[in-house]
Amino acid sequence: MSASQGLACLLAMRLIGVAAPAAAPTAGGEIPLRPEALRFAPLVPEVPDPGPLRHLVAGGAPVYVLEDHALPLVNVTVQLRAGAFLDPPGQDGLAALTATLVRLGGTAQHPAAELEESIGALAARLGSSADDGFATVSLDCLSSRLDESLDLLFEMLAKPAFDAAPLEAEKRRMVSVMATRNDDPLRILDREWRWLLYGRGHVVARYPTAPEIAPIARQDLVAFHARYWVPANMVLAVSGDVDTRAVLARLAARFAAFEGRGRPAPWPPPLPRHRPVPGLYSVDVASPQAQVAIGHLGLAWNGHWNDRGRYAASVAQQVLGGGGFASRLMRRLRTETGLVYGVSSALDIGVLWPEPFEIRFAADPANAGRAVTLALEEVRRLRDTRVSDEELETAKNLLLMQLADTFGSARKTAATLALDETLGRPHASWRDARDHLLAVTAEEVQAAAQQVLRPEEALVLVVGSWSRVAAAGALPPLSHHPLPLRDPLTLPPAP
Amino acid sequence: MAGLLSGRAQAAVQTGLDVEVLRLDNGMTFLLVDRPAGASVAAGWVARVGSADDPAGQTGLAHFLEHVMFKGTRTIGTTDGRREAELERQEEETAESLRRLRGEAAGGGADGARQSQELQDRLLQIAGQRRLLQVPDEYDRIYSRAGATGINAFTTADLTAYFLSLPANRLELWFWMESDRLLDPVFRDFATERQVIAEERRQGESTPTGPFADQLEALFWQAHPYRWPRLGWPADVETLTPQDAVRHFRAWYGPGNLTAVLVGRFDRARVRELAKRYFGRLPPVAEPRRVSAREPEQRAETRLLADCNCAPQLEMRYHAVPFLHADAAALEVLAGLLDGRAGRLYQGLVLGPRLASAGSAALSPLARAGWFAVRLQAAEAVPLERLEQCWAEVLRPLQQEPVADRELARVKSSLMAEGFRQLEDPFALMVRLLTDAGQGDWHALEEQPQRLAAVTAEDVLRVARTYFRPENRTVALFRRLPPAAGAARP
Repeated sequence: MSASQGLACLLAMRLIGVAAPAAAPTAGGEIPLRPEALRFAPLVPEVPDPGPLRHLVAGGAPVYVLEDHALPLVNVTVQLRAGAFLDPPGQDGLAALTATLVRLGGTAQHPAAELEESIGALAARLGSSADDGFATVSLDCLSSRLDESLDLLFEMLAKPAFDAAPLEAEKRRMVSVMATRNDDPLRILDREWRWLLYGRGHVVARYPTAPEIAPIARQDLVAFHARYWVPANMVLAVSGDVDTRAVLARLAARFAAFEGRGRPAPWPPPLPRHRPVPGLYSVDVASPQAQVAIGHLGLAWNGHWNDRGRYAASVAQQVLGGGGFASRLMRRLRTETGLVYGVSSALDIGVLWPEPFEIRFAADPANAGRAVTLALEEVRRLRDTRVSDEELETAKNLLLMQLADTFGSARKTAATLALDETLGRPHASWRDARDHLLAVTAEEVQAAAQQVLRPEEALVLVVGSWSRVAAAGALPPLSHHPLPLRDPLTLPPAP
Repeated sequence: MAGLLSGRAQAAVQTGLDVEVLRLDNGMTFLLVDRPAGASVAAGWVARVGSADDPAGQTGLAHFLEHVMFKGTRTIGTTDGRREAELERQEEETAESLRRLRGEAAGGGADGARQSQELQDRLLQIAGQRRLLQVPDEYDRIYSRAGATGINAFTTADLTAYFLSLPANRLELWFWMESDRLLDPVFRDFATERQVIAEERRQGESTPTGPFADQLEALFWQAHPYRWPRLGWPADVETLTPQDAVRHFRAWYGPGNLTAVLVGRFDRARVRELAKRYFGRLPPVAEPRRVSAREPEQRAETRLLADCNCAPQLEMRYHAVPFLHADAAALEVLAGLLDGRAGRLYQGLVLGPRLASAGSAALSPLARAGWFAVRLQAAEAVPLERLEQCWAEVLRPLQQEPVADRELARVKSSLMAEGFRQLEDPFALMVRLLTDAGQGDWHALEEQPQRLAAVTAEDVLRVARTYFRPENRTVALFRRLPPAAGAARP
C-alpha cells in the first residue's frame, strides 16, 4: 500500500464508529428542564471495509494493517490456531505451556535472561498466551525501534529455545496456582459450573492437574511448536505508527525465517457432547458470601450469521442483566431489595461452541435462596411479557455502542478483523449485526426469550456455606446434588 | 537508555497529550483532550475528598455518598420533586420528634410508648408515599438509553471519581446530567444502599486475604486517617444518615474542589460553551479544610500474622513518599528493578533457587503519604521465615552499591514506555487524569518522563537506604490454614 493509500486508510478510520451528525444542540444559554428535551441523531455504527486492510505476505500469513500516527507506538499481534483443544490426551496444559515458554524460554539467539534484557532495553512489551481455541503473541513497541522489536518477535515465533530453567519455573508456577484452586469460592464456582455445562472432556472444561504437568518435557513443547506454530496457522494484526508498505516488507523478510508454511491445524475444534442435567448443585465451603450461577447451555452461530433471532436473543439478555443498572436483574436484586452488590447475565453467542446463558451474583448465604428465586422470576417475566419501548431502545443502543467500540481504534479494528479470520467468522457478520440490531422488534425479543431462555432447564450452582443457605430456605424446588470439594492438585473424578 | 526516549518519543509524551485547561469563574476546572479518531467521549469528574476525609466516627461516609450520588435529583428519579421534598421535610421533622421523645422518655410509660409508636407509623407512612413517587435507577436508565457505557464511580482514600463513556454526539447529555446532580442531588434509598454496601464488604472479605485487609491498613498507619477502611467500619456505617451525606456533599462537592476530564471526539469551542452554561450554574463555596494529618515516624517494626485459605505469602510494606514527592521517581525505578519477569525478584527468587513462586514490588503514592510494598509467595515447602531472609538478600546489594547502568537504563526506558501506553486508550487516560487531579496535580503524567529520566543510580541507592529500614515497615505473614479448618466438606 502506498503512503497515500495509508493516509486514505487513516482518514477512513476517522469516520469509523458511530456516525455522529450534529445533535440538535441547545442554543447558547438555554438549559432544558428535562434531559429528554435534548434531541440526538440515532446511533448507526460504521463498520470498516476490510478489503483494503488485508494483505498476504509472501510465504507468510494474512496481515491486517491499520495506520494510526497519533502516537509513536506500534502493536503487532499474531493469532494462531494453537489452543488447548489441541492438547494431546493426558497432556492438558501443553498448549498453554508452549505459548508461555515461547515468551519466557529464550530463543536460539538469545537465552532467556538475555531476551528479557533485550526486550527491556527496547522498552518493548511482548506477551504470549493460549486459551481454549487459539494462541496470541503480542508486541507493543516504539515505532523508532520496530525493526529490532520485530527481530525479537520473530525469533520467539520461529526459533524458541524452550530453556529448561524457565520451563521448570513455569511448571512450578502452574502447580502453585493449582494449589490455590479452592482458596476463592469464585474459582470453585467457575470450575464446577463449566463441568456441569460442558462435561469434563470438552476443552472448555479441562483443567490441567499437577500429575499431568509434571512429565511435560522440553521435547513435548518442541513437537507442539513444530506442528502448530507455523505460518499456515497464523493471522497478523498490525496497527499504529507504521507505513503499510514498509511494514509488509519487513514482515515478509522475517517470515523467511520459518522453514515452509507448515500445515493448518484441524479446525474447528470439537463441539461438546455433554447434556447438562437441570438441578440444584452445591459445594459447601465456609465463606461470608455464597457465589451463585444460574443457567444452561446457550447458543452458537453454527453458520447462521444472518439469523435475526440470535440478535433478538442478545437484546433479550441485555434487558435481563446485561445493561448494569438499566437491567431488570440489577433493579430487582440490588436497587429494590439490596440483596447483592452486583448481578449480571450473559448470553454470548459462541463462534466455536455454544456459550452459556448464565446469571451470576454473590450474596449473603442467608439471602442466596431468595435471590435465586427472584432471578428466575425475572427470566420468566421476560418470556411472558413484551419488553417496554424504553428497554428495547436501551438494549439496542448499548449493543450498538459495543459494536462501535469493537472498531473504536486502529488496534481494536485490526485485532477484530484478524480474529474474524482466525475463528472463521465472516467480516460481513458485523454489518449484519448492526442492521439486525437496528431492526429488531419487541415481539421478536419476546419470541427469542421464549426460545432461548429456558428456566425449566436451568442448573443452579451455589458455592458457600450450604447449611446457612439451606436454613434460610426460599430456594426453588429443584433436586439437590451436593458436590465434593476436590483436591486442588489432582481434581479427582466426581463420584 | 537516555537516548531511547529522549527525542521524538519523549517530545510526544509532552506534547501528545495537549491538554486544554478551562477554569470556570466558580473555580471548577476542566481538562480537555481531543481524540478525533474515536466515536465516543470518555467523560468524568473528580471531587478531592476520599475516605481519609471522613469525619471521626463516620468512617465510610465518602464512599456511602458515592453510592447515593446515583439516586437522582429533584428532577431525576422522581415523578414529583416538589411533593417529594415536602415529604422529605416531614420525614426529618418526624424523625427528630422521635429522637427527642426517646431522649426524654427513658421511663415515659404507656403514653410515651403510644406516641413513639405513632411517630414510627408516621415514618413508615411517609416512606411509603416517597417510594410511590420514585423512579428507580432513572439516572442510569437515561444514560444507558443514550448508549452510554461504563457508568461508574470509585472512592479512594483521597478522592471520589464519577465517569462514563458516551457517544460523541450525545455529550451535551453528560453536561445536563452531571451539572444537575451537582446542583440538587437527592439521596434516596439510604437503607437499601446500606445493605448493598454490606454486600460489597462481604465481597472483599470473601477473597483469600480479604478478611485481613482492613486490619493491615490499621496496623500500618498509626495516626493518619489512611488507616480507616474505605468502606468504613461497619459500626460507623450503621449510624450514617442522609443528613450526614448532605453535609458532606455541601462541604466537599463545591466547584472549586472539582475537576472534570473529557477525552475523545468533541469540538473544544462547543465544550467550553457547554461547560460555562451548565457547570457555571454551580454556586462557589468556601474551600473545604482538609485535616492536616501527618503520620508520625515509625520506630519499631510491626507484624501481622494471619491464618487464611491462601497460598503462604508475605507482604513487606514500607512507609515511603506521597504523590509528586521528589523521591517518587527513584522509588518507581526501584520497584521496576524488582518487579516483572526481568526483575530481581523473579530472576533471583523464582527462576533460580526456587524459593518463591511469585514476587512483585510497587510504590503506592497517595496524596499525603505513601508506601512501598514487596509481595512474595512461597514456593512449596519454603517457610515464610526463609522468604523474609530472601527479601533481605535481594535488598542488600541495592543498599550497598549503585545499580549498573545497563539495568538502570532498561528499567527507566520500560517505565517511560509504559507511561506512553497509558495515553493510548481514551477511557484509561481519562481515569488516570482524574486520579492525578484528585491526588493533587494532573501534570504528573506529563512530567513523568523527565522525572524518570533524571533518576540516577545514586538516587536509587539513596532511597533504598532511606526507606527500606526494618523499623520503617510492617510485615504481614499469611499462613495457609489446614484444609479442614477452611472448608467444610460434605
